[in-house]
Amino acid sequence: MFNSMKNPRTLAILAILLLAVAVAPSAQSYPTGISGAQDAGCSCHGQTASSEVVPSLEGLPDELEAGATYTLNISFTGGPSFAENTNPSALGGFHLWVSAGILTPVDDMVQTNSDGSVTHTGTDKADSGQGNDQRLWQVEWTAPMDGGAKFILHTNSVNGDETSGGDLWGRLTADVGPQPVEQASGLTVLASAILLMVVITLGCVAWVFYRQDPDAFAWERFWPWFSDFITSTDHKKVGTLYMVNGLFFLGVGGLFALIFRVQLASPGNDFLTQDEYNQFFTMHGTTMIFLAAMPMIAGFANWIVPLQIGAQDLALPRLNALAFWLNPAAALLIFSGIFSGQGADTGWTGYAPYVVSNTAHSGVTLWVAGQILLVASSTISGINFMTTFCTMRAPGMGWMHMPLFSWSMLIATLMLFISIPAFGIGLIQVLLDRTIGTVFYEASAGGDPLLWSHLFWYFGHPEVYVVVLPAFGVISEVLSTSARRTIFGYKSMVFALAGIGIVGFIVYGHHMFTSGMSPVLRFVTMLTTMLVAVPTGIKIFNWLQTMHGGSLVYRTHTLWALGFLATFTLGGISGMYFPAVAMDIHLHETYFVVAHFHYVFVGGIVFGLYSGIYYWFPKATGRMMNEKIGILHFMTGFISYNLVFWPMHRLGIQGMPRRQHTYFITTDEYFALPAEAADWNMMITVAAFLFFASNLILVYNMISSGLRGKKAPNDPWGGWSMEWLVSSPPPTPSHDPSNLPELKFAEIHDDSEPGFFGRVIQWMMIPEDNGGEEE
Amino acid sequence: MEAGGEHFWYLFDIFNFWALIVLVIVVVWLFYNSLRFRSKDGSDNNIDNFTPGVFPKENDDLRMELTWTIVPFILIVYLTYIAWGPIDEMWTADPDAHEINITGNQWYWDFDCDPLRDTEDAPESSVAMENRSSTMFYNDNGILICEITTIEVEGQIKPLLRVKADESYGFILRSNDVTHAPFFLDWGLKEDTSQNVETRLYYTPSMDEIGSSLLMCTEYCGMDHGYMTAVVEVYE
Repeated sequence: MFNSMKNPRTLAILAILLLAVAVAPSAQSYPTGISGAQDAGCSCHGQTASSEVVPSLEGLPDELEAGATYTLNISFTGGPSFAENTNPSALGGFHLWVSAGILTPVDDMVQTNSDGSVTHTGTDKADSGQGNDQRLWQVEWTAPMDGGAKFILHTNSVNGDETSGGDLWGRLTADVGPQPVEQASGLTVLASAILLMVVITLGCVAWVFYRQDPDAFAWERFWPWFSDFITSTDHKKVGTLYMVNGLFFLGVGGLFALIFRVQLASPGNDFLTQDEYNQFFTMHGTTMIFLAAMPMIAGFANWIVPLQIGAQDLALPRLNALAFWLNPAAALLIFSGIFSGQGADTGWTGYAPYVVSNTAHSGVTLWVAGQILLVASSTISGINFMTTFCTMRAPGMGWMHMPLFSWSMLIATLMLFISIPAFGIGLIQVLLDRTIGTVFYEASAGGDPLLWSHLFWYFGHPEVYVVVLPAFGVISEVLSTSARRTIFGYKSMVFALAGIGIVGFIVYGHHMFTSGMSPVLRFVTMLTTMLVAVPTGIKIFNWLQTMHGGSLVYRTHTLWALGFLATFTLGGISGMYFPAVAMDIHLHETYFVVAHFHYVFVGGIVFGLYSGIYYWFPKATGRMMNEKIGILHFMTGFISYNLVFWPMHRLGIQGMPRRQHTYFITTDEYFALPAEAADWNMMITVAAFLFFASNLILVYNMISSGLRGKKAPNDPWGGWSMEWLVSSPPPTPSHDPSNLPELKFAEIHDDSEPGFFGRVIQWMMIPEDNGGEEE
Repeated sequence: MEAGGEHFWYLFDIFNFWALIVLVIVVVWLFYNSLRFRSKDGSDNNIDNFTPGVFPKENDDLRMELTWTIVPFILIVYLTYIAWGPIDEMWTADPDAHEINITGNQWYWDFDCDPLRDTEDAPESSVAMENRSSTMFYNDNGILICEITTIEVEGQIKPLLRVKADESYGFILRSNDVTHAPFFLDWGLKEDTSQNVETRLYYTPSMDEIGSSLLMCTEYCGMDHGYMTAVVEVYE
């Protein structure tokens, strides 16, 4: 990096960037968004407030009398105008806001605005029409009947040239009477928490570096180490970046959830405004799926797939790095809206036509743009994995000898490939609708809002399998190794994965039973959704049977895998309630849905990935993880997780709708939720905090074990697949390219010769004997 | 009163029964296998002789695998069969139903008791025009079929739709802006409203459903989505 900085071209680009930053118009950011002139002032008198102009507001009482009327004198000193100035249009003006009570002009030098604030007029006879012809004004203020008030006064001082150049303005704020208790807005809380997380993450990175060699802690050594990480194309380093990215956003998504759980802790709460609440649940969903789950899956795949199939690296390492670096860029786009108070507020599904309507926040445009980048990222990394699987399996490893984690990634990648173009198309249409005025989804112009739902769910449902199949793969590896038994029914496991992969494409209609879509599709997707339970059931029963006759060794990853079996079975069973249309009509958009997909996403995917972290951590870092802390993490996490999501089933059946800022308890007038719903919600909120805290144990364990854990042997758990052949941590390249490992077999296999599928792939590939060149 | 309709609770009980059986099988199996076949002293007994880089010996049993393919499949077929019956119940048109218009707006509901009142399609029936108004509808016998008034919900004035028990209603759903969905809590029904598509729901409230229940919006529609409520009352 330092070397490349001497390159004149690099220096020139940096100089241009610096210049661009310097000359770009200055922008002010407010956590609640700029609420017009009250925050930003009138740009007709300069961009920002100046200390030269000193406003004064006289006549405010020390003791406020409710309902009394006070006469206020407004004046200012300083700035380009001066008292003896004979040019009447070179004096000044003012704007006064008050949070409570009523402002009334005394004479016609002052007028009332539509928002209740008062400002100067241009009625003086000597005035040239600009109105900045006074230095003193009088208004009357009638105090509110209870509570105090907050005044904001802007005065501007003008130089009389009738342009904004040279004018200055100043601000004064004044409080009178009792003030309401200051309460941080939800966005401030969120921004502080995310900032804290960024600081902690960077602190952890610095600490990890420091502990490697405490005596040589210097920037000159830190930067090459760090820049090596962020410029690397090595699959292990990119995998680590993906994991750090995924875990960071898992935390951010969790913070969103905690903040809106506070809002939902009691009915009629006003911790968040509706606007904030809508943005927060939208960002929670988007963050968790696209910025946490997908990168974590990609992190595992990056780390493990080349090691497991005996390859030196992924087939296309530079594309791999590109796919990762699209992620932080997309995250910035997706989040950029929220800190201006105009973040995406469409729900992660972004249903049309709301997503293209002008009632949706302007941040939706950037949110959509960010997701388009993520589509690109997923596609690029998918190409990479497909190529790796097809061309870089170790000698002797046929398709039906790949470890199950690799198989699950292959199927997931195939599914992603077939589904994500639909999403990409939909997103681009939304972006065009929102920016250049196309009308793909604008119903009033003949657009079709249902098209979005079809495109989205055609992607969205397979997407669930894309993230859950790798978790299945992890569980297969962990259970088999822990039970010291070959996975039961390897072939039926592969066929079940493929079966889920195929059927998973034609089930998406169950998200749309109430949308008014074709009754035929309703019927077909009911059947297919029911059917997808069969291959999923095969996998669960095979996992259970794998333990039979084994010698199960209890370690943290084993516990997470067993916990996964219980919670994922629950999530799978509750999923069976939706294809039954008559039940779905009641359960659709209620907390039953929320409970179901959190049992799948957290109890399935996150538990699977936690199991994978404990399983492969020694391989990745060369250090064993602390088992005691790990078990503490499992116990606290598993219990608090169930406390969070189990009661949601009940709330959903009672009819509590999701995505709502509040909920209504039954009164004498009407029937709504039972009174107990408030108690359950409070319990969920408390448990959510516990669940969040329990995950900090994992972070602590990863850092402390990574630094001080026992040295790990090559094969700490006694697994058979090829990642256990290499040292811990693995060398670079991961397997020696001149001496690739060859897969051996414990038994003679009939299918060591390539089967039909293998022959088709071989037929498609360019034969190696012509040097890989195209004919 | 209880959220969810008759079909919901019928299917829910059956599904719960089978869910419980599957769950008990899985949990008992899970605990039995994980405790019975554990390593008693925590040591590593390499039963299948795992060696890195060696594809292990096979562990399968075609009969068992077929069993847990076929048995769940039969259960699925049964569950599909019982769920099939009421699949179109709420969309099956009843030509004699009293039609009520429901229009979603950001962020309030509009009800119309007599959608035919001002149209040319209005039948030249015996129903006297003075018995019709958009907020009230009487049938031929002068019995009140539908009425719209207002009610206070948590300090806000919301529409109150009154319908008669044992009368068949067809709700014609539209939207003036984005997608909404009225959720009839007590009946366990919901359906999206769209701007350029007319969707419908049919329902006959029973005598057991007499009383008022909250109607909420269950398709996210923007800022005040959570407060887009109304009340539906079934009277005798």
